[in-house]
Amino acid sequence: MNALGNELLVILPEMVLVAAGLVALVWAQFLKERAAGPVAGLAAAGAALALLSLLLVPDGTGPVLFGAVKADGFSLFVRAVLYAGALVVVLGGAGYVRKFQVPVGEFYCLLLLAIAGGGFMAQAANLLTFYVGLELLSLASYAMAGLRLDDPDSNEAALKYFFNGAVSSAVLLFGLSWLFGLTGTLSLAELGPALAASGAHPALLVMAVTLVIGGLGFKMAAVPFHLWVPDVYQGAPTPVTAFLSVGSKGAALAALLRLFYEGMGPLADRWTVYFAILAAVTMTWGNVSALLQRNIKRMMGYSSIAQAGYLLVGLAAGSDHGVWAAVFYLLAYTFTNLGAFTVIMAVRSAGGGLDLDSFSGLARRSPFLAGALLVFFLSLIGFPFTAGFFGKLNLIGAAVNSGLVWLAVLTAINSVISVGYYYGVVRNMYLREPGADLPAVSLEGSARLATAVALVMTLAVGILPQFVSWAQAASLLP
Amino acid sequence: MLGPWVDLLVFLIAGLTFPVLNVVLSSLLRRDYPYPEKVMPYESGEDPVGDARVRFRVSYYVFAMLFVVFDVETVFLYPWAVVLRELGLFALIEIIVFIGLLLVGLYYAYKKKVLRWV
Repeated sequence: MNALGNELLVILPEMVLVAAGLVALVWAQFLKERAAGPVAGLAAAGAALALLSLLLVPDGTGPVLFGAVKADGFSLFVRAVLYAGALVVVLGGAGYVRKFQVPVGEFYCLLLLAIAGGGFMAQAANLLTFYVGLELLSLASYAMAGLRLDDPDSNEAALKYFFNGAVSSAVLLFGLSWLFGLTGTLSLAELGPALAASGAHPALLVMAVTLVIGGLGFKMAAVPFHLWVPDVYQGAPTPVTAFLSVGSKGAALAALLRLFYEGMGPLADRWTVYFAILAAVTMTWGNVSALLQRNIKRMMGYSSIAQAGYLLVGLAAGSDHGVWAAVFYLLAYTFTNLGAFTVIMAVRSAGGGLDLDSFSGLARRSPFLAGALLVFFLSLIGFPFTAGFFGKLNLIGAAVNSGLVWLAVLTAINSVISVGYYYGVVRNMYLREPGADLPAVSLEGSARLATAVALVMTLAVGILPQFVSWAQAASLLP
Repeated sequence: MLGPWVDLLVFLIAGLTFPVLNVVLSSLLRRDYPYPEKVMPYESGEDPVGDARVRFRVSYYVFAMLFVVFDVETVFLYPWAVVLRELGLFALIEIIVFIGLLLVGLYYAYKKKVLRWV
Protein backbone atom coordinates (compact mmCIF):
# COMPACT_ATOMS: atom_id res chain seq x y z
CA MET A 1 0.00 0.00 0.00
CA ASN A 2 2.87 2.30 0.80
CA ALA A 3 4.51 1.67 -2.57
CA LEU A 4 1.15 2.38 -4.17
CA GLY A 5 0.92 5.61 -2.18
CA ASN A 6 4.24 6.66 -3.66
CA GLU A 7 3.02 5.81 -7.12
CA LEU A 8 -0.14 7.82 -6.60
CA LEU A 9 2.02 10.83 -5.73
CA VAL A 10 2.93 10.97 -9.42
CA ILE A 11 -0.62 11.91 -10.34
CA LEU A 12 -1.26 14.02 -7.23
CA PRO A 13 -1.42 17.28 -9.25
CA GLU A 14 -4.12 15.82 -11.50
CA MET A 15 -6.06 14.54 -8.49
CA VAL A 16 -5.96 18.05 -7.05
CA LEU A 17 -7.22 19.50 -10.34
CA VAL A 18 -10.09 17.02 -10.68
CA ALA A 19 -11.12 17.44 -7.04
CA ALA A 20 -11.05 21.23 -7.33
CA GLY A 21 -13.05 21.04 -10.55
CA LEU A 22 -15.77 18.85 -9.05
CA VAL A 23 -16.02 20.97 -5.90
CA ALA A 24 -16.27 24.06 -8.11
CA LEU A 25 -19.15 22.48 -10.04
CA VAL A 26 -21.12 21.56 -6.91
CA TRP A 27 -20.31 24.71 -4.96
CA ALA A 28 -21.48 26.92 -7.82
CA GLN A 29 -24.91 25.24 -7.64
CA PHE A 30 -25.23 26.32 -4.02
CA LEU A 31 -23.99 29.87 -4.47
CA LYS A 32 -26.05 30.48 -7.63
CA GLU A 33 -25.77 34.19 -8.59
CA ARG A 34 -22.98 34.89 -6.10
CA ALA A 35 -20.82 32.08 -7.49
CA ALA A 36 -18.54 34.04 -9.87
CA GLY A 37 -16.05 35.39 -7.32
CA PRO A 38 -15.65 32.53 -4.83
CA VAL A 39 -15.59 29.76 -7.44
CA ALA A 40 -12.99 31.62 -9.50
CA GLY A 41 -10.94 31.84 -6.31
CA LEU A 42 -11.36 28.12 -5.73
CA ALA A 43 -10.30 27.32 -9.31
CA ALA A 44 -7.26 29.57 -9.02
CA ALA A 45 -6.35 27.89 -5.72
CA GLY A 46 -6.79 24.48 -7.36
CA ALA A 47 -4.49 25.35 -10.26
CA ALA A 48 -1.91 26.90 -7.90
CA LEU A 49 -2.06 23.87 -5.60
CA ALA A 50 -1.60 21.52 -8.55
CA LEU A 51 1.43 23.57 -9.62
CA LEU A 52 2.90 23.39 -6.11
CA SER A 53 2.17 19.68 -5.73
CA LEU A 54 4.42 19.04 -8.73
CA LEU A 55 7.22 19.56 -6.21
CA LEU A 56 6.06 16.45 -4.35
CA VAL A 57 6.17 14.27 -7.46
CA PRO A 58 9.17 11.94 -7.21
CA ASP A 59 11.31 12.91 -10.20
CA GLY A 60 12.72 10.27 -12.48
CA THR A 61 10.10 7.64 -11.71
CA GLY A 62 9.75 5.05 -14.43
CA PRO A 63 6.34 3.88 -15.62
CA VAL A 64 4.12 3.47 -12.55
CA LEU A 65 0.46 2.72 -11.86
CA PHE A 66 0.49 -0.41 -14.01
CA GLY A 67 2.64 1.26 -16.66
CA ALA A 68 0.19 4.09 -17.25
CA VAL A 69 2.19 7.20 -16.36
CA LYS A 70 5.75 8.25 -15.85
CA ALA A 71 7.27 11.19 -14.01
CA ASP A 72 10.37 12.31 -15.88
CA GLY A 73 11.80 15.79 -16.31
CA PHE A 74 9.81 16.22 -19.50
CA SER A 75 6.43 15.55 -17.93
CA LEU A 76 7.20 17.76 -14.94
CA PHE A 77 8.25 20.64 -17.18
CA VAL A 78 5.25 20.43 -19.50
CA ARG A 79 2.80 19.99 -16.62
CA ALA A 80 4.28 22.98 -14.82
CA VAL A 81 3.80 25.08 -17.97
CA LEU A 82 0.23 23.81 -18.47
CA TYR A 83 -0.87 24.36 -14.86
CA ALA A 84 0.73 27.78 -14.65
CA GLY A 85 -1.10 28.56 -17.89
CA ALA A 86 -4.39 27.39 -16.37
CA LEU A 87 -3.78 29.66 -13.39
CA VAL A 88 -3.25 32.66 -15.67
CA VAL A 89 -6.42 31.78 -17.65
CA VAL A 90 -8.48 31.60 -14.43
CA LEU A 91 -7.12 34.91 -13.12
CA GLY A 92 -7.32 36.71 -16.44
CA GLY A 93 -10.74 35.34 -17.37
CA ALA A 94 -12.59 35.94 -14.09
CA GLY A 95 -13.75 39.40 -15.13
CA TYR A 96 -14.94 38.17 -18.51
CA VAL A 97 -16.83 35.25 -16.95
CA ARG A 98 -18.71 37.61 -14.63
CA LYS A 99 -19.38 40.25 -17.27
CA PHE A 100 -20.71 37.90 -19.97
CA GLN A 101 -22.45 35.52 -17.54
CA VAL A 102 -20.58 32.43 -18.61
CA PRO A 103 -21.97 29.57 -16.45
CA VAL A 104 -19.52 29.68 -13.54
CA GLY A 105 -19.43 26.14 -12.16
CA GLU A 106 -19.37 24.59 -15.62
CA PHE A 107 -16.58 26.83 -16.90
CA TYR A 108 -14.13 26.31 -14.04
CA CYS A 109 -14.94 22.63 -13.68
CA LEU A 110 -14.40 21.94 -17.37
CA LEU A 111 -11.26 24.08 -17.48
CA LEU A 112 -9.64 22.18 -14.61
CA LEU A 113 -10.69 18.80 -16.01
CA ALA A 114 -9.38 19.73 -19.45
CA ILE A 115 -6.01 20.79 -18.09
CA ALA A 116 -5.82 17.58 -16.04
CA GLY A 117 -6.36 15.69 -19.30
CA GLY A 118 -3.49 17.67 -20.83
CA GLY A 119 -1.34 16.73 -17.84
CA PHE A 120 -2.08 13.05 -18.41
CA MET A 121 -1.07 13.38 -22.05
CA ALA A 122 2.26 14.90 -20.99
CA GLN A 123 3.08 12.04 -18.59
CA ALA A 124 1.62 9.14 -20.57
CA ALA A 125 3.83 6.06 -20.73
CA ASN A 126 1.21 4.13 -22.60
CA LEU A 127 -0.91 4.74 -25.68
CA LEU A 128 -4.13 4.21 -23.72
CA THR A 129 -3.36 6.77 -21.01
CA PHE A 130 -2.41 9.12 -23.72
CA TYR A 131 -5.70 8.66 -25.60
CA VAL A 132 -7.87 8.88 -22.48
CA GLY A 133 -6.06 12.09 -21.49
CA LEU A 134 -6.70 13.48 -24.95
CA GLU A 135 -10.40 12.66 -24.74
CA LEU A 136 -10.72 14.29 -21.32
CA LEU A 137 -9.08 17.40 -22.73
CA SER A 138 -11.14 17.33 -25.94
CA LEU A 139 -14.60 16.66 -24.53
CA ALA A 140 -14.20 19.37 -21.92
CA SER A 141 -12.96 21.77 -24.61
CA TYR A 142 -15.94 21.17 -26.90
CA ALA A 143 -18.37 21.97 -24.11
CA MET A 144 -16.36 25.02 -23.04
CA ALA A 145 -16.46 26.46 -26.56
CA GLY A 146 -20.27 26.57 -26.34
CA LEU A 147 -20.60 27.96 -22.83
CA ARG A 148 -22.13 31.27 -23.88
CA LEU A 149 -25.51 29.66 -24.35
CA ASP A 150 -27.27 32.76 -25.69
CA ASP A 151 -24.59 33.53 -28.27
CA PRO A 152 -25.12 31.86 -31.68
CA ASP A 153 -21.42 32.25 -32.53
CA SER A 154 -20.48 30.33 -29.41
CA ASN A 155 -22.95 27.55 -30.25
CA GLU A 156 -21.58 27.37 -33.77
CA ALA A 157 -18.04 27.19 -32.41
CA ALA A 158 -18.92 24.30 -30.10
CA LEU A 159 -20.66 22.34 -32.84
CA LYS A 160 -17.87 22.86 -35.39
CA TYR A 161 -15.23 21.99 -32.85
CA PHE A 162 -17.11 18.90 -31.77
CA PHE A 163 -17.69 17.50 -35.25
CA ASN A 164 -14.14 18.18 -36.42
CA GLY A 165 -12.75 16.92 -33.15
CA ALA A 166 -14.77 13.71 -33.14
CA VAL A 167 -13.51 12.85 -36.61
CA SER A 168 -9.90 13.64 -35.75
CA SER A 169 -10.10 11.62 -32.53
CA ALA A 170 -11.32 8.69 -34.57
CA VAL A 171 -8.47 9.16 -37.06
CA LEU A 172 -5.95 9.30 -34.23
CA LEU A 173 -7.36 6.21 -32.57
CA PHE A 174 -7.24 4.38 -35.89
CA GLY A 175 -3.59 5.37 -36.23
CA LEU A 176 -2.83 4.15 -32.71
CA SER A 177 -4.55 0.86 -33.52
CA TRP A 178 -2.19 0.47 -36.48
CA LEU A 179 0.78 1.04 -34.20
CA PHE A 180 -0.59 -1.56 -31.81
CA GLY A 181 -1.23 -3.94 -34.69
CA LEU A 182 2.35 -3.53 -35.93
CA THR A 183 4.01 -4.00 -32.56
CA GLY A 184 1.56 -5.73 -30.22
CA THR A 185 2.42 -3.32 -27.42
CA LEU A 186 0.79 -0.21 -25.98
CA SER A 187 3.83 0.85 -23.95
CA LEU A 188 5.72 3.82 -25.36
CA ALA A 189 9.04 2.44 -24.14
CA GLU A 190 8.58 -0.81 -26.03
CA LEU A 191 7.13 0.79 -29.14
CA GLY A 192 10.42 1.80 -30.81
CA PRO A 193 12.30 -1.50 -30.37
CA ALA A 194 9.19 -3.48 -31.32
CA LEU A 195 8.76 -1.42 -34.49
CA ALA A 196 12.41 -1.84 -35.42
CA ALA A 197 12.24 -5.58 -34.76
CA SER A 198 8.90 -6.20 -36.45
CA GLY A 199 10.30 -5.72 -39.95
CA ALA A 200 6.89 -4.52 -41.05
CA HIS A 201 6.41 -3.16 -44.52
CA PRO A 202 7.40 0.56 -44.58
CA ALA A 203 4.04 1.47 -46.12
CA LEU A 204 2.26 0.25 -42.99
CA LEU A 205 4.35 2.50 -40.77
CA VAL A 206 3.65 5.42 -43.10
CA MET A 207 -0.06 4.72 -42.72
CA ALA A 208 0.12 4.65 -38.92
CA VAL A 209 2.28 7.78 -38.70
CA THR A 210 0.07 9.71 -41.13
CA LEU A 211 -3.09 8.91 -39.17
CA VAL A 212 -1.51 9.85 -35.84
CA ILE A 213 -0.13 13.12 -37.22
CA GLY A 214 -3.56 13.87 -38.68
CA GLY A 215 -5.29 13.35 -35.35
CA LEU A 216 -2.81 15.31 -33.25
CA GLY A 217 -2.26 17.95 -35.93
CA PHE A 218 -5.91 18.86 -35.42
CA LYS A 219 -5.33 19.49 -31.71
CA MET A 220 -2.20 21.49 -32.44
CA ALA A 221 -3.96 23.44 -35.20
CA ALA A 222 -1.37 22.56 -37.82
CA VAL A 223 -2.17 23.25 -41.47
CA PRO A 224 -4.00 21.43 -43.17
CA PHE A 225 -5.90 20.36 -40.05
CA HIS A 226 -6.54 23.93 -38.96
CA LEU A 227 -9.86 24.70 -40.64
CA TRP A 228 -11.77 24.80 -37.34
CA VAL A 229 -9.42 27.32 -35.73
CA PRO A 230 -10.64 30.72 -36.96
CA ASP A 231 -14.35 30.06 -36.34
CA VAL A 232 -13.87 28.33 -33.00
CA TYR A 233 -11.39 30.92 -31.73
CA GLN A 234 -13.74 33.71 -32.75
CA GLY A 235 -16.94 32.15 -31.43
CA ALA A 236 -15.75 30.62 -28.16
CA PRO A 237 -15.78 32.77 -25.00
CA THR A 238 -12.42 34.57 -24.94
CA PRO A 239 -11.02 32.81 -21.81
CA VAL A 240 -11.77 29.53 -23.56
CA THR A 241 -10.00 30.74 -26.70
CA ALA A 242 -7.02 31.66 -24.53
CA PHE A 243 -7.04 28.18 -23.02
CA LEU A 244 -7.37 26.44 -26.39
CA SER A 245 -4.49 28.42 -27.83
CA VAL A 246 -2.06 27.18 -25.18
CA GLY A 247 -3.59 24.23 -23.31
CA SER A 248 -4.62 22.08 -26.27
CA LYS A 249 -1.57 23.04 -28.25
CA GLY A 250 0.86 22.37 -25.42
CA ALA A 251 -0.68 19.01 -24.57
CA ALA A 252 -0.72 17.98 -28.23
CA LEU A 253 2.92 19.01 -28.63
CA ALA A 254 3.88 16.99 -25.55
CA ALA A 255 1.99 14.01 -26.94
CA LEU A 256 3.69 14.29 -30.34
CA LEU A 257 7.12 14.55 -28.73
CA ARG A 258 6.47 11.54 -26.53
CA LEU A 259 4.94 9.43 -29.23
CA PHE A 260 7.48 10.19 -31.94
CA TYR A 261 10.71 11.16 -30.22
CA GLU A 262 10.41 8.84 -27.24
CA GLY A 263 8.33 6.09 -28.81
CA MET A 264 9.75 6.04 -32.32
CA GLY A 265 13.11 7.74 -31.79
CA PRO A 266 15.16 5.05 -33.56
CA LEU A 267 13.08 5.62 -36.68
CA ALA A 268 13.54 9.41 -36.61
CA ASP A 269 14.85 9.54 -40.16
CA ARG A 270 11.54 8.09 -41.33
CA TRP A 271 9.19 10.68 -39.80
CA THR A 272 11.13 13.96 -39.42
CA VAL A 273 10.44 14.87 -43.04
CA TYR A 274 6.67 14.95 -42.37
CA PHE A 275 7.15 17.38 -39.53
CA ALA A 276 9.51 19.55 -41.54
CA ILE A 277 6.88 19.93 -44.28
CA LEU A 278 4.08 20.35 -41.75
CA ALA A 279 6.03 23.03 -39.87
CA ALA A 280 6.89 24.94 -43.05
CA VAL A 281 3.33 24.92 -44.41
CA THR A 282 1.75 25.67 -41.01
CA MET A 283 3.84 28.71 -40.11
CA THR A 284 3.64 30.22 -43.59
CA TRP A 285 -0.10 29.67 -44.02
CA GLY A 286 -0.86 30.95 -40.52
CA ASN A 287 1.17 34.11 -40.88
CA VAL A 288 -0.04 35.01 -44.35
CA SER A 289 -3.69 34.44 -43.41
CA ALA A 290 -3.32 36.47 -40.23
CA LEU A 291 -2.35 39.49 -42.35
CA LEU A 292 -5.88 39.56 -43.79
CA GLN A 293 -7.88 39.46 -40.54
CA ARG A 294 -9.93 42.33 -39.13
CA ASN A 295 -11.10 40.56 -35.96
CA ILE A 296 -8.53 40.31 -33.18
CA LYS A 297 -9.59 36.80 -32.13
CA ARG A 298 -9.40 35.51 -35.70
CA MET A 299 -6.03 37.20 -36.06
CA MET A 300 -4.80 35.55 -32.86
CA GLY A 301 -6.22 32.28 -34.17
CA TYR A 302 -4.09 32.42 -37.29
CA SER A 303 -1.19 33.69 -35.22
CA SER A 304 -1.52 30.62 -33.01
CA ILE A 305 -1.50 28.43 -36.13
CA ALA A 306 1.80 30.05 -37.10
CA GLN A 307 3.14 29.46 -33.58
CA ALA A 308 2.19 25.79 -33.89
CA GLY A 309 4.38 25.76 -37.00
CA TYR A 310 7.33 27.09 -34.99
CA LEU A 311 6.76 24.47 -32.29
CA LEU A 312 6.80 21.71 -34.92
CA VAL A 313 10.29 22.79 -36.02
CA GLY A 314 11.57 21.13 -32.85
CA LEU A 315 10.02 17.83 -33.92
CA ALA A 316 11.30 18.24 -37.45
CA ALA A 317 14.81 18.54 -36.02
CA GLY A 318 14.26 15.12 -34.44
CA SER A 319 17.08 15.63 -31.96
CA ASP A 320 17.41 16.19 -28.23
CA HIS A 321 18.17 19.81 -29.01
CA GLY A 322 14.91 20.01 -30.94
CA VAL A 323 12.92 18.55 -28.06
CA TRP A 324 14.10 20.99 -25.45
CA ALA A 325 13.90 23.87 -27.90
CA ALA A 326 10.24 22.97 -28.53
CA VAL A 327 9.28 22.73 -24.84
CA PHE A 328 11.22 25.92 -24.12
CA TYR A 329 9.30 27.65 -26.88
CA LEU A 330 6.10 26.24 -25.36
CA LEU A 331 7.01 27.91 -22.06
CA ALA A 332 7.70 31.22 -23.80
CA TYR A 333 4.59 30.99 -25.99
CA THR A 334 2.26 30.03 -23.13
CA PHE A 335 2.91 33.10 -21.01
CA THR A 336 3.19 35.44 -23.97
CA ASN A 337 -0.01 34.34 -25.66
CA LEU A 338 -1.99 34.19 -22.42
CA GLY A 339 -0.80 37.70 -21.60
CA ALA A 340 -2.01 38.93 -24.98
CA PHE A 341 -5.39 37.25 -24.47
CA THR A 342 -5.70 38.73 -20.97
CA VAL A 343 -5.33 42.20 -22.46
CA ILE A 344 -7.87 41.38 -25.19
CA MET A 345 -10.30 40.13 -22.52
CA ALA A 346 -9.82 43.31 -20.49
CA VAL A 347 -10.60 45.47 -23.53
CA ARG A 348 -13.62 43.32 -24.33
CA SER A 349 -14.94 43.31 -20.76
CA ALA A 350 -14.68 47.10 -20.69
CA GLY A 351 -17.28 47.16 -23.46
CA GLY A 352 -14.96 47.33 -26.46
CA GLY A 353 -15.48 45.22 -29.56
CA LEU A 354 -13.24 42.59 -31.02
CA ASP A 355 -12.36 44.26 -34.32
CA LEU A 356 -8.92 45.78 -34.61
CA ASP A 357 -10.34 49.32 -34.43
CA SER A 358 -11.37 48.70 -30.83
CA PHE A 359 -7.71 48.99 -29.94
CA SER A 360 -7.46 52.53 -31.30
CA GLY A 361 -5.70 54.79 -28.84
CA LEU A 362 -5.44 52.11 -26.17
CA ALA A 363 -2.18 53.77 -25.13
CA ARG A 364 -4.23 56.78 -23.97
CA ARG A 365 -7.04 54.79 -22.45
CA SER A 366 -4.81 52.40 -20.53
CA PRO A 367 -1.05 52.86 -20.88
CA PHE A 368 -0.30 49.73 -18.83
CA LEU A 369 -2.40 47.44 -21.02
CA ALA A 370 -1.07 48.93 -24.24
CA GLY A 371 2.51 48.58 -23.04
CA ALA A 372 1.90 45.01 -21.91
CA LEU A 373 0.31 44.05 -25.23
CA LEU A 374 3.27 45.63 -27.04
CA VAL A 375 5.70 43.44 -25.08
CA PHE A 376 3.60 40.32 -25.73
CA PHE A 377 3.49 41.03 -29.46
CA LEU A 378 7.25 41.68 -29.53
CA SER A 379 7.74 38.32 -27.86
CA LEU A 380 5.44 36.59 -30.36
CA ILE A 381 7.48 38.14 -33.16
CA GLY A 382 10.71 37.06 -31.46
CA PHE A 383 12.24 40.40 -30.50
CA PRO A 384 15.42 40.27 -28.34
CA PHE A 385 15.06 40.48 -24.53
CA THR A 386 11.71 38.73 -24.72
CA ALA A 387 10.90 35.05 -24.24
CA GLY A 388 10.04 34.54 -27.88
CA PHE A 389 13.53 35.56 -29.01
CA PHE A 390 15.36 32.78 -27.19
CA GLY A 391 12.58 30.41 -28.09
CA LYS A 392 12.98 31.00 -31.80
CA LEU A 393 16.76 31.14 -31.56
CA ASN A 394 16.86 27.68 -30.00
CA LEU A 395 14.44 26.25 -32.54
CA ILE A 396 16.41 27.69 -35.45
CA GLY A 397 19.62 26.37 -33.88
CA ALA A 398 18.10 22.91 -33.54
CA ALA A 399 16.96 22.97 -37.17
CA VAL A 400 20.41 24.02 -38.39
CA ASN A 401 22.11 21.34 -36.28
CA SER A 402 19.90 18.74 -37.91
CA GLY A 403 20.78 20.02 -41.38
CA LEU A 404 17.42 21.71 -42.01
CA VAL A 405 18.86 25.06 -43.04
CA TRP A 406 15.94 25.80 -45.36
CA LEU A 407 13.49 25.37 -42.47
CA ALA A 408 15.59 27.65 -40.25
CA VAL A 409 15.60 30.33 -42.95
CA LEU A 410 11.84 29.94 -43.44
CA THR A 411 11.26 30.35 -39.70
CA ALA A 412 13.21 33.61 -39.73
CA ILE A 413 11.32 34.85 -42.81
CA ASN A 414 8.02 33.99 -41.13
CA SER A 415 8.94 36.02 -38.06
CA VAL A 416 9.35 39.00 -40.35
CA ILE A 417 5.97 38.37 -42.03
CA SER A 418 4.30 38.21 -38.61
CA VAL A 419 5.47 41.77 -37.86
CA GLY A 420 2.87 42.88 -40.42
CA TYR A 421 -0.24 41.97 -38.47
CA TYR A 422 1.07 42.56 -34.97
CA TYR A 423 2.18 46.01 -36.06
CA GLY A 424 -1.35 46.77 -37.27
CA VAL A 425 -2.63 46.47 -33.69
CA VAL A 426 0.33 48.35 -32.21
CA ARG A 427 -0.23 51.20 -34.67
CA ASN A 428 -3.87 51.38 -33.65
CA MET A 429 -2.89 51.47 -29.98
CA TYR A 430 -0.20 54.11 -30.18
CA LEU A 431 -0.70 56.22 -33.30
CA ARG A 432 -4.48 56.45 -33.63
CA GLU A 433 -6.74 58.69 -31.59
CA PRO A 434 -9.23 56.83 -29.43
CA GLY A 435 -12.70 57.07 -30.93
CA ALA A 436 -15.26 59.01 -28.89
CA ASP A 437 -17.35 55.91 -28.32
CA LEU A 438 -14.51 53.77 -26.97
CA PRO A 439 -14.64 53.34 -23.19
CA ALA A 440 -11.74 53.76 -20.81
CA VAL A 441 -10.32 50.40 -19.85
CA SER A 442 -9.86 49.67 -16.21
CA LEU A 443 -8.35 46.45 -15.03
CA GLU A 444 -9.63 44.53 -12.06
CA GLY A 445 -7.32 42.99 -9.52
CA SER A 446 -7.19 39.42 -10.78
CA ALA A 447 -6.71 40.44 -14.42
CA ARG A 448 -4.02 42.90 -13.36
CA LEU A 449 -2.27 40.08 -11.54
CA ALA A 450 -2.56 37.79 -14.58
CA THR A 451 -1.15 40.45 -16.88
CA ALA A 452 1.67 41.18 -14.47
CA VAL A 453 2.56 37.48 -14.13
CA ALA A 454 2.54 37.01 -17.89
CA LEU A 455 4.59 40.18 -18.37
CA VAL A 456 7.19 39.24 -15.77
CA MET A 457 7.49 35.72 -17.15
CA THR A 458 7.75 36.93 -20.75
CA LEU A 459 10.64 39.19 -19.80
CA ALA A 460 12.24 36.81 -17.29
CA VAL A 461 12.27 33.87 -19.70
CA GLY A 462 13.85 36.17 -22.27
CA ILE A 463 16.57 37.46 -19.95
CA LEU A 464 17.39 34.86 -17.29
CA PRO A 465 19.35 31.84 -18.54
CA GLN A 466 17.96 29.49 -15.85
CA PHE A 467 14.88 28.71 -17.89
CA VAL A 468 16.97 27.35 -20.75
CA SER A 469 18.83 24.95 -18.49
CA TRP A 470 15.52 23.96 -16.91
CA ALA A 471 14.14 23.14 -20.36
CA GLN A 472 17.33 21.25 -21.20
CA ALA A 473 16.75 19.11 -18.13
CA ALA A 474 13.34 18.25 -19.58
CA SER A 475 14.96 16.10 -22.22
CA LEU A 476 13.18 12.91 -23.13
CA LEU A 477 16.28 10.74 -23.18
CA PRO A 478 16.71 8.59 -20.07
CA MET B 1 4.89 -9.73 -49.34
CA LEU B 2 2.21 -8.66 -46.90
CA GLY B 3 2.28 -11.91 -44.94
CA PRO B 4 -0.34 -11.95 -42.17
CA TRP B 5 -1.88 -8.77 -43.54
CA VAL B 6 -3.57 -10.84 -46.21
CA ASP B 7 -6.14 -11.66 -43.52
CA LEU B 8 -6.97 -7.99 -43.25
CA LEU B 9 -7.36 -7.71 -47.00
CA VAL B 10 -9.68 -10.71 -47.08
CA PHE B 11 -11.68 -9.27 -44.20
CA LEU B 12 -11.93 -5.94 -46.01
CA ILE B 13 -13.15 -7.53 -49.24
CA ALA B 14 -15.56 -9.82 -47.42
CA GLY B 15 -16.89 -6.89 -45.38
CA LEU B 16 -17.60 -4.90 -48.52
CA THR B 17 -18.97 -7.80 -50.54
CA PHE B 18 -21.43 -9.13 -47.96
CA PRO B 19 -23.82 -6.15 -47.74
CA VAL B 20 -23.60 -5.36 -51.46
CA LEU B 21 -24.27 -8.97 -52.35
CA ASN B 22 -27.24 -9.10 -49.96
CA VAL B 23 -28.90 -6.05 -51.43
CA VAL B 24 -28.31 -7.12 -55.03
CA LEU B 25 -29.42 -10.72 -54.48
CA SER B 26 -32.56 -9.81 -52.60
CA SER B 27 -33.52 -7.27 -55.25
CA LEU B 28 -33.15 -10.01 -57.87
CA LEU B 29 -35.11 -12.61 -55.95
CA ARG B 30 -38.00 -10.62 -54.46
CA ARG B 31 -41.22 -9.53 -56.10
CA ASP B 32 -41.38 -5.82 -56.85
CA TYR B 33 -44.73 -4.83 -55.35
CA PRO B 34 -44.69 -1.44 -53.65
CA TYR B 35 -47.93 -0.24 -52.06
CA PRO B 36 -48.42 2.95 -49.97
CA GLU B 37 -48.21 1.30 -46.54
CA LYS B 38 -45.04 -0.49 -47.55
CA VAL B 39 -43.10 2.53 -48.80
CA MET B 40 -44.15 4.56 -45.79
CA PRO B 41 -41.26 5.39 -43.38
CA TYR B 42 -41.15 2.94 -40.51
CA GLU B 43 -41.83 4.59 -37.17
CA SER B 44 -42.20 1.81 -34.63
CA GLY B 45 -45.55 0.77 -36.05
CA GLU B 46 -47.03 4.27 -35.75
CA ASP B 47 -48.51 6.20 -38.65
CA PRO B 48 -45.98 8.86 -39.51
CA VAL B 49 -47.85 12.16 -39.20
CA GLY B 50 -46.59 15.35 -40.77
CA ASP B 51 -43.10 16.51 -41.52
CA ALA B 52 -40.18 14.78 -39.84
CA ARG B 53 -38.36 18.07 -39.44
CA VAL B 54 -40.21 19.29 -36.37
CA ARG B 55 -38.99 20.24 -32.94
CA PHE B 56 -39.15 17.35 -30.54
CA ARG B 57 -38.68 17.13 -26.82
CA VAL B 58 -35.06 17.51 -25.91
CA SER B 59 -35.68 15.80 -22.56
CA TYR B 60 -35.22 12.42 -24.19
CA TYR B 61 -31.65 13.28 -24.98
CA VAL B 62 -30.78 14.13 -21.40
CA PHE B 63 -32.28 10.85 -20.19
CA ALA B 64 -30.40 8.97 -22.87
CA MET B 65 -27.16 10.63 -21.82
CA LEU B 66 -27.66 9.83 -18.14
CA PHE B 67 -28.64 6.31 -19.07
CA VAL B 68 -25.41 5.76 -20.98
CA VAL B 69 -23.37 6.91 -18.00
CA PHE B 70 -25.01 4.50 -15.59
CA ASP B 71 -25.10 1.76 -18.17
CA VAL B 72 -21.33 1.96 -18.45
CA GLU B 73 -21.09 2.03 -14.68
CA THR B 74 -22.97 -1.27 -14.49
CA VAL B 75 -20.78 -2.82 -17.14
CA PHE B 76 -17.73 -1.75 -15.18
CA LEU B 77 -19.07 -2.98 -11.84
CA TYR B 78 -19.50 -6.58 -13.00
CA PRO B 79 -15.83 -7.35 -13.75
CA TRP B 80 -14.91 -5.39 -10.63
CA ALA B 81 -17.13 -7.58 -8.48
CA VAL B 82 -15.56 -10.72 -9.94
CA VAL B 83 -11.97 -9.76 -9.06
CA LEU B 84 -12.72 -7.82 -5.86
CA ARG B 85 -11.38 -10.55 -3.55
CA GLU B 86 -8.02 -10.66 -5.32
CA LEU B 87 -7.52 -6.90 -5.52
CA GLY B 88 -8.71 -6.16 -1.99
CA LEU B 89 -9.02 -2.79 -0.34
CA PHE B 90 -7.47 -0.83 -3.19
CA ALA B 91 -10.18 -1.93 -5.62
CA LEU B 92 -12.86 -0.99 -3.10
CA ILE B 93 -11.45 2.53 -2.72
CA GLU B 94 -11.08 2.81 -6.50
CA ILE B 95 -14.72 1.92 -7.12
CA ILE B 96 -15.90 4.32 -4.41
CA VAL B 97 -13.97 7.10 -6.14
CA PHE B 98 -15.46 6.06 -9.48
CA ILE B 99 -19.04 6.01 -8.18
CA GLY B 100 -18.39 9.24 -6.31
CA LEU B 101 -17.42 10.95 -9.56
CA LEU B 102 -20.64 9.71 -11.18
CA LEU B 103 -22.68 10.87 -8.18
CA VAL B 104 -21.34 14.39 -8.66
CA GLY B 105 -22.69 14.20 -12.20
CA LEU B 106 -26.06 12.92 -11.00
CA TYR B 107 -26.23 15.62 -8.35
CA TYR B 108 -25.47 18.23 -11.02
CA ALA B 109 -28.23 16.85 -13.25
CA TYR B 110 -30.62 16.92 -10.29
CA LYS B 111 -29.72 20.52 -9.44
CA LYS B 112 -30.21 21.53 -13.07
CA LYS B 113 -33.71 19.98 -12.86
CA VAL B 114 -33.17 17.76 -15.88
CA LEU B 115 -34.60 14.79 -13.95
CA ARG B 116 -37.98 16.48 -13.67
CA TRP B 117 -40.37 15.54 -16.47
CA VAL B 118 -42.04 18.71 -17.67
